Amino acid sequence: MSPPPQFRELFESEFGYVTRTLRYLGVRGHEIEDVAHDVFLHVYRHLPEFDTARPIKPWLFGFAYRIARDFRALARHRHETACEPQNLRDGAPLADDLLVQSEALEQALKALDTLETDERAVFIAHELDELPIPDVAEALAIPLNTAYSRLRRARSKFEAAARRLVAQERTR
Amino acid sequence: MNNQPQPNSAALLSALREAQVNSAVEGTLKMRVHSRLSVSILGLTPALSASIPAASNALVASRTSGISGAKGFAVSKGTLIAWLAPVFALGVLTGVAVDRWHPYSAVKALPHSTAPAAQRDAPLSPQPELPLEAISPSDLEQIDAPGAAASPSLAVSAPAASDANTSLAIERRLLDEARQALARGEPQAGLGPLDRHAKRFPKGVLTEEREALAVRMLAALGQSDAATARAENFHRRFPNSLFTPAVDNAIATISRRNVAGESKL
Repeated sequence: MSPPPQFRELFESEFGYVTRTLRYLGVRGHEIEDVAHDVFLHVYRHLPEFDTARPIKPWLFGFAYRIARDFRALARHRHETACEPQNLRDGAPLADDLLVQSEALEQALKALDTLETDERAVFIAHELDELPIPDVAEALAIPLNTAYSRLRRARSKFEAAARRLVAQERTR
Repeated sequence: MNNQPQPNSAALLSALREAQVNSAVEGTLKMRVHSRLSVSILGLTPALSASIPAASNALVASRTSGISGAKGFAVSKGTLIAWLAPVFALGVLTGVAVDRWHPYSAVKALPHSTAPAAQRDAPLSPQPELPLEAISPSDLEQIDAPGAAASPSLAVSAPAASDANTSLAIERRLLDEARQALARGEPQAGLGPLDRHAKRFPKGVLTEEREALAVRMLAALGQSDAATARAENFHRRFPNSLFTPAVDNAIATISRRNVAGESKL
C-alpha cells in the first residue's frame, strides 16, 4: 500500500475543491474560512488512516459535508444567516467572491439554496463531482436507497427553482 | 427514475460546473487557513485529539444532535479563533489556549467499523460557551462524557481497545502528553514524551509534528540556542511544512523576548 499523501501537498492541491464544495453546500461569507479550517483539521487528523487505494475527493467530501451541515444547523439556530450581514470581518476574504460571479451562477446558487443540506450534498456529489450514487452513499455514510431518494427530491426541487427563475426572467 | 437533470436545470448546472474561482481571493483564504492550521494543530488539547470523529465510515449524525439543548452555544467560536489569529501571528499567545474553543470538542472518537451503525453516528457538536480561562482539559473531558451530553446520540463508546494500541494511537498519546504539559505551562515536562516519541518512532507518522512541538517547547523554556538549532533542522527536513509558520513564530517570540530583556538593561 502506498503511503498516505502528505498533508501539505493535499492541502495545496485540494483547497480549491474543498472551498468550492463548501460554497455549494451553502457555507458562505466569512464562515468559509472557519469551516475550511475545521475540515482540514479533521483531514489532518485522519490522513494516516486514509486508504490510498481509494480516490481522495469523496473522502474529503464526507468531511466537508458533515462539518458544513453542523455549521449551517448552528447558524440557522442563531438566525445568523438571516439577520447578519455577510463579510463584515476586516481582512477576511469575501467568500462569495470566491467564485467569479455571473447571473447564471447566482441563479444556480439560489436554486441550490432551496434544497435541504442532505439533499444538496447528494446532488452536488453526483451532478457536479460526477460520483456514482453508490460512491455518494458511501462518502456520506448513508444507505443507498436514501441517497437515491435524496437525489430524486433534490433534482425535483432544483428543477422547480430553475423553472421559477426562468419564469421571473421572462416577466422582467 | 429519470437519470438526467431536467431542462430548466441544465443551464444552471453548467454554471455551477464551470464556475471560475477568483484566484486572488482563494490565495488569501488559503494563506489564512494554513496559518491558523499551523497553530491549531500544534495546540490541540488531548480532549480534542480524541474527539475528532471517524471519517467516512461514520453514519450521518442525527439531525437533532448538533443543536439539541443548544441554548447558549457559542456559534462564534470559529469566528473568535479567526479573530485571534493575527494575535497569534504576533506570538502574543500560544495556540494551546485557543483550541480549547474548538467547536467540535464535544465529539468522541468512534471506532471505524466495529460499532453498530447507530453508534457509528458521528455528530459534530458544539460545546457550551464558557469563558476562555474557565475551560481546562478536565472540563473538556466532562463535556466529552456521555452523561454530560445534550443529546443521547452523543453517548457513544470510547475507541476500541485495538485502536488505542496502534502505533499511531501511541504516537498521538505521546504528543498529546507533551501538548498537555505545554498547555499547563510546564514545557519541561513535555520534553520527556517528545524524547520517548523520537526514540520509539524515529520515522513515525507524526515526526514532523513532534519536531515542530519540540521547537515550541524549547522556545517556551527560553532555550534559545537549542530552539534555533532545532528550528533550522526542522526547516531542512521539512522545507514545505504546514508547521513552518508556527515554528517561525516560536523563534520570533524568543527574539522579541531577548530584545525586550536587553532594552530593560
